[in-house]
Amino acid sequence: MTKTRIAFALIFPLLITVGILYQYRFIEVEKAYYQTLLFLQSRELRKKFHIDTEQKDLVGYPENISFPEGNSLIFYIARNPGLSSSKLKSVEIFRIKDDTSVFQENISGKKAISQVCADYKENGCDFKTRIELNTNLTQGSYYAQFADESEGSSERIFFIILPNKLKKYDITIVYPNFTWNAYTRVGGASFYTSNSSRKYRLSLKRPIFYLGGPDETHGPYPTVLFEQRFWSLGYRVLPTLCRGRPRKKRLFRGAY
Amino acid sequence: MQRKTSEETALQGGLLKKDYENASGMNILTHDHPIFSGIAKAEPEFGQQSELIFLEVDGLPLTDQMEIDRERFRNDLRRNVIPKNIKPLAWSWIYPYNKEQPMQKVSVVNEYWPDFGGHVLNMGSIGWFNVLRRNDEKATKIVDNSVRYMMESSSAKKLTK
Repeated sequence: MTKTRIAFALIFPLLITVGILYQYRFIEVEKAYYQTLLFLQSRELRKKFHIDTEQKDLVGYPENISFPEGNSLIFYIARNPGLSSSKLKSVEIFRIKDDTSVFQENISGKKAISQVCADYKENGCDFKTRIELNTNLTQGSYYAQFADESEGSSERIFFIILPNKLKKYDITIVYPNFTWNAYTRVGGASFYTSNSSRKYRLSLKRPIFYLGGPDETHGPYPTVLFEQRFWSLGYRVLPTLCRGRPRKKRLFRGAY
Repeated sequence: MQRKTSEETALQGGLLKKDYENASGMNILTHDHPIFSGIAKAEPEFGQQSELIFLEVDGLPLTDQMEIDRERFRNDLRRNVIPKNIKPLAWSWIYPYNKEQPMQKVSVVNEYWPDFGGHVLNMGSIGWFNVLRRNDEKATKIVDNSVRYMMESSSAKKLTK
């Protein structure tokens, strides 16, 4: 009887330890799986649409998806996992209205560290390379592209400059940014990952794929097409974003 | 609702092959509406090549007479949310999300005027961006017409004042 008790006393802690390790391993494996999947999917999408067919080595996100007019712009950049770190070379910003380049700057000296996104929640990816730009961009929607000395370039990083004073506009276009964020699995989980403890803690500090991810709809590109069409018809367009209020349990819902 | 189903399932459900092949696009119901200005009456289909009906669609079921089928929801809460003055403008074949029913005709472009003011033109499909990126001239004309029509709508202007 005593031997049985000793055996149980040894086996139970061992089982619990194995269980904890397995759960931790499972989450890490799942995170790595989604990272790889996203990397491959974005490459397949580019091939499919014949847009930017070269592989994108850099990923990043803005500190906030919108910046007030006159404020400096802050981005966090990393080199895709699997590639070695490199030195950044330049950044170019394009205005979505007419897809023209409006800002270029040499940023040599900064290093793009090869990094896996740290987390899907809380502080998000926590990319270590911080780039601050003083641009004088006026109100509108834009995307930034970074380049490094290894001839790699970044995904298009979408952001909006908010007007300090509203002028007269014909059409307001609402970019569904919470939907993009709800669907992206960067960092290991999305809003739709089937684990209730994860659902409501998605971080906005994660890269968003410009072309919209696996089903082509959850990124800026589909809405960009409409903004550009409205401008081409001669209307003055005010690009804006979804707004959400933090709730007690849910950070935001916002996806549709 | 979503469109995706296999051809085999659709044909077993009674759909004609021609209709299944056209299910990626829409069909005009109200030809004299300004959003269809410049579209030939003899060719009421649009968006098939560019995959206008894509992934997810919102719409209202139609009767054989191509009117909104209000009886469909007589026993559930949805009967109260279909506006009385809603006007169906274009329809498509749709495969219901719950997959319990075969493909059916659904009004996907609808227009209505809410009691509290304003003017709503619901274009129905998540796939309208396909029309723009694939340079579908016919469907893009409908996009342009729709924007101009809404910009000229006096009731919409009233709401924004």
